[in-house]
Amino acid sequence: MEAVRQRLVLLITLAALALILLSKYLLRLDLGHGVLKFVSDFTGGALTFFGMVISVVAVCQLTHSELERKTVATLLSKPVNFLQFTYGKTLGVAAMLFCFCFAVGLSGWIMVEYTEFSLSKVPPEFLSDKPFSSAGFWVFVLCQWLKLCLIAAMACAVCSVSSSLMFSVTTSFMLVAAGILASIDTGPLADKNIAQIVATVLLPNFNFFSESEKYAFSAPSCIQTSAAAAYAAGYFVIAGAAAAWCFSRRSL
Amino acid sequence: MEYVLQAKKISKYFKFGLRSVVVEALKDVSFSVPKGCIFGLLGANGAGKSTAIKILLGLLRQNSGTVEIFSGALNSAAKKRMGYLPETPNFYGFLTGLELVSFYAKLCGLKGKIAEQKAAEALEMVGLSDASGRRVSLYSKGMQQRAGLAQAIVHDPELLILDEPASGLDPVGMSDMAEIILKLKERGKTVLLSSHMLAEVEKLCDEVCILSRGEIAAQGSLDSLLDKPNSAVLNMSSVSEQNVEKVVKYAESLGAKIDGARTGRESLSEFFKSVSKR
Repeated sequence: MEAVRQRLVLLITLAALALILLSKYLLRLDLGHGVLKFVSDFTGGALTFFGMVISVVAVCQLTHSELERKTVATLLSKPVNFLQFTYGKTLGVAAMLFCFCFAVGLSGWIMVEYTEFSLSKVPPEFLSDKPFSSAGFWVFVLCQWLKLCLIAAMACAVCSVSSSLMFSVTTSFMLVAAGILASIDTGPLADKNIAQIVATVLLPNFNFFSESEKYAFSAPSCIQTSAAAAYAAGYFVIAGAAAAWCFSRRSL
Repeated sequence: MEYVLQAKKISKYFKFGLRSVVVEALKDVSFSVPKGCIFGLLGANGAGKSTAIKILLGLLRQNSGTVEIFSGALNSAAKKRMGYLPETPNFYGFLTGLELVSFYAKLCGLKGKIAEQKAAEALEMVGLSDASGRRVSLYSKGMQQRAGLAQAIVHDPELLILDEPASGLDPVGMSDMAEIILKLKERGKTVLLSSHMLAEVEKLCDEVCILSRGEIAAQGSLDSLLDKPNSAVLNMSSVSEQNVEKVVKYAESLGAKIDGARTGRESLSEFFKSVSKR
């Protein structure tokens, strides 16, 4: 409830929705892709970019406001332990991110369907798009939500060792960027130096979610999706436990 | 004697900076809080009161020593039997008083309607029932303090830990807070309060522990610490200045050493309370 009340979250969600609703009118920015693919990619871009901002900022703001206002002391004096505190915060943000992904996904889906309907009068030989799969599109949205939950858990772990909001937000974004770079380097661990191995192990591996970007125009893979879900859940649990451990060892 | 809380040889130090400068906040502090009493943890600013309270609540880990609450370790079951009022209560401003106290009641395991009912009762006890529908962000500091006390007592705990309960309250608010604490004692609750408002502490506490620079400077019941054998204080009303002199001379004839005598005067605190009683 506290997460949804953040003005920045509402503002970013509105910006993402506006961008998606305008996507049909921004087709001139397209660089040779199909019309439907362009609109669908626009939704994916809005989900990833704005979702990333929301997950990092929301977790850092909620956690640091608890620490700075000392409400955490009242909370933890009740039968609430550090694990419940960190999981409560991140699950609250995860629920808010679910609403965000659903709203953005729904507007993107409506725009793709509307564009597809508009194109139904155009002879097929003039179209370069593969057929759009609604189910695949929603699996893609689900995978993006899992990715954002994972980022939220990582941001919570950063907050547990940081004493300022600015440090937490900046470090979390830097770690997301480092995670993206580490994910690009898909070579075997044996060929990497220690820094690369640490980055590969500790930072989120976004490769689990990159495959889902194709699902809107191809059959979604059940194995890939399950692997992404399992990885996100595992990372979420471990990062939350690490955050709880760090919180229990600092002065609140 | 049954003890609700026992702190045994607690030490806590903090390390600061790159050179790890060590500051000792508590040095081998031991005290026991008997069941049903009001126990005062006193000390100047920086004496270690808040550090001790944080350790008792599990918010800070001691470097050595043990804490026993209800004859065991601090766990969820023990926390359900405890209530805590922080020094400067700060709450989720978007909630109303009733929603806030209900939220904390639910954290203590109370369910739905019962939580709301208990929250309403707690708010009534602290004198906030009229403002229970108002957002906490619109509360004055004194009202926030009362809301803090309401969330501490909402689940009917056996042990209450109050960190500077009179902080930020006006004299009338302080007097009301003292009355509530005494009512809680009458109901059999044990209260541990930290304060540096000695006049209020003297009225309330059965036992005190005075901390100075992280060490115990004095400890015991107020009677044993403050009573002066072979001395007396006389408070006389309806007596003229000449008669005061006569009383002094008579007392001296009995061998009493008179430290001072003056005509009666009300304290500012008492006078303020009498003229501004709400």
